[in-house]
Parts: sequence; structure tokens; C-alpha cells
Amino acid sequence: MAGVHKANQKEVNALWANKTWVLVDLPPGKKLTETQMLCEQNRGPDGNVDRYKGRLVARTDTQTHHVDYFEVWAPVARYYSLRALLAHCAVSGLVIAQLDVETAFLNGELMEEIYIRQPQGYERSTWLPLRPCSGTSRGQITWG
Amino acid sequence: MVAAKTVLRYIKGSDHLGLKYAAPGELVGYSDADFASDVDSRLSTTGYVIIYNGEAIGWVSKIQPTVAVSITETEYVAGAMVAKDAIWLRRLLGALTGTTKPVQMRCVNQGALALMHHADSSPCTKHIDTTHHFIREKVAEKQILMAHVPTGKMTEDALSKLLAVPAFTTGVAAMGLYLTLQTAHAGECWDAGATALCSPRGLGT
Repeated sequence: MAGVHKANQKEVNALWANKTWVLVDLPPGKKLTETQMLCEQNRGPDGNVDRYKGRLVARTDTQTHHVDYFEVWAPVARYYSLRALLAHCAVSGLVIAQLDVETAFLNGELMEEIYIRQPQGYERSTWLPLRPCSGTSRGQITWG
Repeated sequence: MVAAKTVLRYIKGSDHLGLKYAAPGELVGYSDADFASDVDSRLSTTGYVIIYNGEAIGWVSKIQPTVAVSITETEYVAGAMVAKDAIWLRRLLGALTGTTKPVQMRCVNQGALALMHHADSSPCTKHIDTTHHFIREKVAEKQILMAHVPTGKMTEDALSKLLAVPAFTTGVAAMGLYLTLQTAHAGECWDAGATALCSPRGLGT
């Protein structure tokens, strides 16, 4: 369980470092979205866990559609685009760089006004709601 | 189970093929159709392939959404389907390369070509649905350059109809499918995953 805690702490630190949210008091009349700290276990070829990946999610079941969130979808890459890019680069002699954006969702801008609970077990200061742009179902849209 | 085995046989039979990106070339869309190919619904099949730099970057073999009453109409509908992808790819490549050239498109049917170039209406074509007239507008705007291609030169045939082995092999080669066992040279790029290009249907199954 030490691995889980370490991975979760790393994720929470990244959320703070990216200025994903600010600590505020919950204004009157606003609703608090509950959050949950999850941890993925990545298994290696031998079947043993070789990596833990912490993830903070907002619980959409504590939100109201058309109030706290609107459209939800996940942008995905099209192979047409990829092949067009490869064809262009191959013929023009261009170099293709590949990279992985580790905390991609943290770089999107959230349009909705949302207050979430601090990640439980990883709080800073007292119980205060936060305004995030990560971990919500809108996160991948604003990034994509 | 029979279908699953067919797919596995197809994968085994085509895993040595890959797309080679090497030769400079224009963006060309080939569209064709197989008239009333579905025996139950009488819907036709559209097949199209879009070639860029000598190999296929997009392809489709798909039942058309509406029943076409003639071969000309079915080719017209196929043209409208490929036009949507071709125009989008033209915009994408425009952003990548800065080119503003129209997309070249090829069609085997003279009647469909005439319909695409002229806003005529006849008793045979007046019923064609609005969505398919998209192609006529794009041709008029010169975003698409339509040209005729004789049946034997229709690269796309391998996608929409059953062909004899020699014609099929010529077709897939024209789409840029090569043996991946050949040595890849500098400046070439392989997309082995794209072997799905030759559909199981085209393999005579």
C-alpha cells in the first residue's frame, strides 16, 4: 500500500503544482462535488505490479447535468490524420517527434463553475472546497 | 464462427503487406460503387480510397444510406461520400503544407460526372436527396476537380467488388500496399497496421 500512497501523493502534488485549483470557501447556494482518489495498478509482463498511477476523479453522480456539466465526449485521434501526417513527413524528409503529456488534463481551461472536495486523505489545510479543471468529465474536452 | 475464421485467414494472408509512404504525389480520391449489392435491401455499396504521396491514407467500403435507382445515381452518391472526407483532408493538408490546390477525384461513370458538373434535373435524377448534391456544390466551387477514369484504372475496385486475383493485386498495389519484407529505405515510413486496407470482402470470401 506504500506504493499506492506514494502515487496518490504524486498526483495531488502535480495538481497543486499545475495550479489546477484554488482553495476557497463554498459560496452560499453552490453545490459541492464529491471526489475520490483512485490508484491504477500497471502490471508488467510477468504479471506483477510494476507501477502505480494515482488519479483524482470528480464524482459525476454528485453533479447535475445542465447545471454542473454540459456536453461530454472524449476526443480521439483519427487514423486518416495520422496517415496524412506520416505521408507528408516521409516525403518531405521531416523528423517526427513523439511525446507523452503526463498530466495533460491539467492544462485545459474549465468553463463551468465547479466546487469540489479536496482529495480525501491528502488535504492541505482544513476542509475547503476547490475549483478544479481536472478530473471532471470536462477535463478531456478542454484539453483535446 | 465461420466469419471469425474468415477474419483470421484474412489476417494471416495479408500480414506481409504494409503501406509505404515514399513517392511525392497529389491528393487523389477514387470513388466507385457496387449497384444494389445488398440482395435483401437493394442498397448499393460505396467504395473509396484517398491516395496521398502514392499510398492510401483513407478508405471505406460501406453500404449507402439510401436506395439508388440507377448505376449513375449510386456513383453520384459514392462521389458525395468521398467528397466529405476529401475536403476535410484537403483542409488538413492545407494546414500542414500550405497548399490550396483542389482535390483530384476520379469516377468511372460518365453519367455521374455530368450530374456533378451541371445542375440539371431529369425525371431519372430529380428524386436524389439533398445531402448527395453536396458534391455538385464542391465541384462548382472548384474545391474538387472531378475526372473520368476507365474501369481498368479504378484503384478503388478492390474495395467494393469481387475481383479476380490479377485485378485485385494491381488495385492494392496502386493504393501503396507493398511487401513489408522489403528493406525500408531512409525517408520511407511504414504503416503495417494499415494492412486492413484490403477488405476481407475483396479477398473473395
